Amino acid sequence: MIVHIDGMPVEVAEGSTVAAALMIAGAARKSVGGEPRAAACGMGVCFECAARVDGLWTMRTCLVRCHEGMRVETR
Amino acid sequence: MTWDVVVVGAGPGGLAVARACSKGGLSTLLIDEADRPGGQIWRAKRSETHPHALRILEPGVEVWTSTTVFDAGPGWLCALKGDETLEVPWRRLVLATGARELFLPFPGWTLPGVMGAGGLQAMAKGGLPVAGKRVVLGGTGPLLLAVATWLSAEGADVVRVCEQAAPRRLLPWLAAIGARPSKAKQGLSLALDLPPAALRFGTHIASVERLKGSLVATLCRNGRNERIAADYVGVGYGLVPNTELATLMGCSTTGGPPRVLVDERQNTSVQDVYAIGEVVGIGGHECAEAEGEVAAAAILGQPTETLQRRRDRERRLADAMNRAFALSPEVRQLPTDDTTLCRCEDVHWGRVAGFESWKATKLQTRCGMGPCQGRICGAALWALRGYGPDKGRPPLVPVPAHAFRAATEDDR
Repeated sequence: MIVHIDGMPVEVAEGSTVAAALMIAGAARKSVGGEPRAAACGMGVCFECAARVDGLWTMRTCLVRCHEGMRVETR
Repeated sequence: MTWDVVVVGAGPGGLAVARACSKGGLSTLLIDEADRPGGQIWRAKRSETHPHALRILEPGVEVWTSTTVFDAGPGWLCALKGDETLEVPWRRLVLATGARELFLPFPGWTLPGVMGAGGLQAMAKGGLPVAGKRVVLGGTGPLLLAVATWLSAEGADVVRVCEQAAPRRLLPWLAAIGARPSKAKQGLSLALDLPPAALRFGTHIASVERLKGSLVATLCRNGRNERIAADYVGVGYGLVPNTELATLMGCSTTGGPPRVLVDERQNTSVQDVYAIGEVVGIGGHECAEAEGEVAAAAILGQPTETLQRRRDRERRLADAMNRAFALSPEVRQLPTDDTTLCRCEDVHWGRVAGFESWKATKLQTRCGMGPCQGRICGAALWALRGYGPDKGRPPLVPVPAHAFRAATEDDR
C-alpha cells in the first residue's frame, strides 16, 4: 500500500507501523538542536518517531499502523 | 458504569489477571497503548495477535487497545483513544504497565538506525525489512540472544552480539536455570541457533558513527577495539519498570530505577490498587502471569498461598538473572561531555555533570522536560548516577489540550 511521507509516496507492506514506513523512506525528525532522529525504542516510550499523522500531532508512529493514502509529516 | 476491575497493560500479567477476574464474575476492562494485546514480549509480526496472547485472552474481558492512560486518581482514570478522551471509573485498579529498555548514552546512540535491541525487533515486527541487513547488537541480558536469533531467522546478518557481562558472572544464573529444564532448553536452543562467531562476552559497543551512509560501531573488549560496519545497531542494557502511572497514583516505590512496592498479595501502598509483572521488578513473563493470578485471587477473596509459592520461585530466578547481568564499570563510563543525554531537549552529558539531583538537573538544563518526560534520560541517570524521576505527573504523555481540559473540568 502507498502512504505519503512529507508528500512523497512510499510503498509499505500491509500491517506495517508508520515508524517502519518512516525508516524505510529514510525520513527523520529534526531534534530541537537540529539533529536527524528516528525510532529508538519501538514501543511508544521515547517519542523519537513522533510525527503528524493524518492531521494529528505528536503521534508515536511506532504505535500506529499504516493505511492506504495516509499522510505523515515529520516537520 | 463503574468497572469492578480495570487492568492497565495487556501483557502476560495483565491478560492473566483480567482472565481470572472475569472468570470470577467481575466486570473487567483491559487497556493497552498498543493496537494488539500481548505486551512487548508477545508481539506478533505486522498486525497479527500473538498466539500466546490469544490463548489467555478471556472472551468476557472488555479490551480497549490503542488507548493511552494519561491521568488517574482514586476510583477513576482518563485515557486517550485517537482524538477521544475516555473517563473510566473503577473499584479495583491493577497496574501491569510492564517495562521499557534501559538505554545508556554513548557517542552515536542518537543516530538514525541505532535503536534498542528490543526496539529493533519491535520495528522489524512492525514491517521494517531486516533480511540481508547487517546487524550489530549490544548491551546485556537474555533479550539480546532472543533478538539475535529472531533476527537471524528473519534473514538478517547478525554480525556481532556484544554481551557486556563476563561469562564467569553468568555462572550462578546458569546454575539456577539448569535446575529448570524448560528454561534451560529455551536458553540452549537460542545459543545454538546463533552463528557462534558472532557472540562476544565481556564486550560492549563504545560508539557508533555514520560513515558514507553506513553505521560503523566500535566494539570494546578488555580495552581492545574492533570496528565493524552495520545497517542497524540495537543496544539494550536490560529493562526498566514503567512506574509513571503507579507513582502518579501515589504508590510507594523502592530502588533505582524505582519499582513499585507490593505486599504478598500484590497490593500496592494505595488502597484498591494492585501491581504485577515487570513494574514490581524485572522478572519475565512467567513471573508476571503468576503475579496476575495472585492479584486476581486477592481481588476475588480467594486463598493465594499456592499461587504465591509459584510466584516466589519465579522471583528468585529473576533475582539471580538481575545479579548476573549487573552493569560493568566500563559501560557506566561511555558518555563523553558532548554525548547527548536527553534526546528530547538535546542536553549533553557534560551539561548535567555539576548537578546531584533529578530536580536540579531538570530545572537547570531542561533535561527530561521533552515529550518522553525523562523516561529515557531519567532511567539512564538512575542507572549511572543513582537519581532520576520518582513521580509521574499528569498528563503522563503529551495529549491534545482538549483532552486534558476534558479530564480536569469535571468536578472531583
